[in-house]
Amino acid sequence: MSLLIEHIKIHSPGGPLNNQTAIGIDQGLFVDPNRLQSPDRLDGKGQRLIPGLIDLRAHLREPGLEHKGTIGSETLAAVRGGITTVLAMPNTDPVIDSPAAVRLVLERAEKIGFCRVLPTAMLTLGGKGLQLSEMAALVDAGCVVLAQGSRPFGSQKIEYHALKYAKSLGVTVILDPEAPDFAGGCAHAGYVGTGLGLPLNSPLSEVLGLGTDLELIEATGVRAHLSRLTTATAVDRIREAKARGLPISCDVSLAHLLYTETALVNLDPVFHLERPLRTEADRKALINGLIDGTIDAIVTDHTPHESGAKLAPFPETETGMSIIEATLNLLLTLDQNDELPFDISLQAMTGNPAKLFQKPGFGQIAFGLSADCVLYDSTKPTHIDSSHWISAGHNSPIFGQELPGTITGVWVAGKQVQN
Amino acid sequence: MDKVRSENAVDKAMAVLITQVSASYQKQPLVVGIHTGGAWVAKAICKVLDWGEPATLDISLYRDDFATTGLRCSGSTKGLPTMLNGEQILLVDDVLYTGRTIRAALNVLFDYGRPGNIDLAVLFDRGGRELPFEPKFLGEALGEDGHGRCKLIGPEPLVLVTPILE
Amino acid sequence: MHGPAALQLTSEGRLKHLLTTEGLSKALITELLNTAESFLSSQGQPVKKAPLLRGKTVVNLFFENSTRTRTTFDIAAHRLSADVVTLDIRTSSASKGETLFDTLKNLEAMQADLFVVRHSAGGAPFFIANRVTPNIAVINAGDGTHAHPTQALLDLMTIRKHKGDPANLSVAIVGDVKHSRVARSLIHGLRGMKCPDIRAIGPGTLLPGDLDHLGVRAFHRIDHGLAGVDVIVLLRLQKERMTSALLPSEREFFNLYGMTEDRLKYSRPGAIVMHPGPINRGVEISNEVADGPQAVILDQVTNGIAVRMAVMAMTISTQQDLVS
Repeated sequence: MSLLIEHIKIHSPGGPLNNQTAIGIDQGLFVDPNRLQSPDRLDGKGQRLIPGLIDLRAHLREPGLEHKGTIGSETLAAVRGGITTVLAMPNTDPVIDSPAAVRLVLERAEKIGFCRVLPTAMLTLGGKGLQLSEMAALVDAGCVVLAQGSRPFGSQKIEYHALKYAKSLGVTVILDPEAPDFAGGCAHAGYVGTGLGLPLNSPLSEVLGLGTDLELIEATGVRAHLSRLTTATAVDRIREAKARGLPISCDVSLAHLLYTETALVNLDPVFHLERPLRTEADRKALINGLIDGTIDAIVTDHTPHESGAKLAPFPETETGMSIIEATLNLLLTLDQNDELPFDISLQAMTGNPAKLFQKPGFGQIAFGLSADCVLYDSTKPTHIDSSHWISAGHNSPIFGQELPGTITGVWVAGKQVQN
Repeated sequence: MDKVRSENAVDKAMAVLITQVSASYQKQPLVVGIHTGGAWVAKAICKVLDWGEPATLDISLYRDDFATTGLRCSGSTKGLPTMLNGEQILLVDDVLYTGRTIRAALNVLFDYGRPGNIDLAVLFDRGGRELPFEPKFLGEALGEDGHGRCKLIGPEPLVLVTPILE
Repeated sequence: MHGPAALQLTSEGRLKHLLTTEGLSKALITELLNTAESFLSSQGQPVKKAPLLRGKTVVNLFFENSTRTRTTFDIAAHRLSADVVTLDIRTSSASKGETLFDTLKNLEAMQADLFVVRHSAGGAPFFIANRVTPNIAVINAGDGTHAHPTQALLDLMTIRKHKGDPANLSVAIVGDVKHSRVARSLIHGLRGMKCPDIRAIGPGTLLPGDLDHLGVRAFHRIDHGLAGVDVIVLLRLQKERMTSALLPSEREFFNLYGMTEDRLKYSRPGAIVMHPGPINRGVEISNEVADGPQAVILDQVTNGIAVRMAVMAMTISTQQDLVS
């Protein structure tokens, strides 16, 4: 059955259909509305239609961590946040490091998932950073990229070998810059963390790790994506490296765009993240990095937990926040606060991340492309209520808040998954 | 604002009290004033009789109304010997009411050893006793009717007032 | 006022837990110190046990070993006639995999009135105070490198007794400020008391990077740092600082920062020397200074008991009022 969505405003900056008022969907693809024959009609009532968002970093928790979330619960949460494609983190239990595990994720996603799930797998066996995983077989099984899941390599030499091997297979890798020596700590080494006496994490951990990564990327020529930058210095280093022509892209998490170290003053474990929240200057630099194109993508770094994981003194809690479900609302919030224009954040969650897995079909509204799109009412706010929260993780900082925008429809490959 | 009961009530009661005390002791007793008002009265007695500085007693740790009134600290216990052993003691308070303060004060004194004779000197007695204590020396009996709550404010000058409750 | 400070006060500003000295007003600290001073007088009695907290139960929750601190809390509770239960959690429930939260729920069921908490994780007492049933007071007896408020209060009491109002004093803290909860709490307490001149003296590896945010001036040279100060607070140097390459040796530390009679002369005449104990002679302090007339280290210990009595009495008193 074909569908005509009319009386809308298509918002797909740079795309051929930007500002059009109607779109057709047929056989899972965007089509010219004039070519539809007796389609179902949906009156958009002046709402906006954007390409479905792509999240390069989310924990879907299967297999093995179903007490924290399932592919079913977390992909539905993603869809409610306007996301139609999720890159699933390999930090599961066991980790994704075998073709069988990749297939398991794909099968589960097929069976109970609500959006596209792209599996990633570990560059090294068990994510232990010691032996290479069967990269060719993993890609064959359906991995679009390989990563190390923010776990350290056993040595710089092992990282070098992993990148060199990946390069020879033409595999894109995701790296999480961090110098193992400086890793650890649960608060940025600034005045808030110092005053609270928390174990501190120096910005040097990221900057030194990034230095190593960039040298090894340059030495091997591998296509690499650097995930979750948190510091102004790192943004500068990436800018320089890109100017040198390194084949890199990078991302920043929503949390680091929204919050700073001062969020920790109440010792709320929701703000205990794997990469600590840093200073206001860092946050501003990350936003500017997106604006000037140094930073390519925004990720949710969605990390759902069971309540017990956060039921302990701050340093002893598990890291991460559950945030995917409000992704679009939070992008609109940043726009509304005049911090980050929506056109830029939209590009950072559509067209730019799509380039990473070399499928230019995603991330745009254009005839012939897969019909992944989100219809939302920009005039109506959403009240974020924990009792309506779909994600299994209630470790979210936004409960009780009223955020801009209300999603009224989400389509993945032409199929409506949320209304 | 508190209401002053009588301008010269304190002076009159003090004179009566001091006369009684001075007539009763051959040898100077250990004068112990209960914080805060009792300490002022003890000081006044000692000044007139040229008895030096009186000891002061903090009873806040020995009160029986912690559960209802909570913690009320008024001052420090000072001037008591490290161990009491048979001393003649003159215990001084400003206003005697239920007698519970005196009970607490006796407990403190007994935690200092074994006092000898203890006499009680009180500037005003407002009645309403709940425990079996009577002063040996009394400045003025206010009687139970028509007086009600009262307290001594000080230290200079000492004035008897009726607290006006908010 | 934000979380930690707000959590320990009632809406009228009375103390219901003692978790940190951060955000405590001068009036409240003064009330605490006055109370402690009046309790100090009861410490001279031949019978030291006063009946104030008779029938109350104090539970010592020590997730981290500390015989000294625990003993002072024990003595303070006993002197107020409270019943004291001490749980060495390291060897009981925690090692059986029970979470702190479950331990807490079990203890609540035992009808305790006050928890004295020591934990290696910064913020653990906040977690407990946040989760505990409303009528139980929580006193932080040291959490991670975060806070040690009773130690700070006894330091303030000692300072006030010997040198008067901190609002007129210069105070220098010498040594491992970076890893010291004692130093943090004292800095917050001194700021609460409107102390105009707080200094931290030590090598770059032992001073936190954001001292100016805390209102503290950093000195690397002890002669500069001690110039004209009224109070010198020495901190204990842990052996781990050498193994983690923050310091070459105890000897080098003593040569640079150890408190000697010669160095004492940089400070104002009559300055007092304090130390939270136990002291390392020949590392933080020379024998001559430790045993000299300007050291008030043992007085700190005595004041510590009175301060802990005062904090216990005040917090339990507030909690009682909240219930009724």
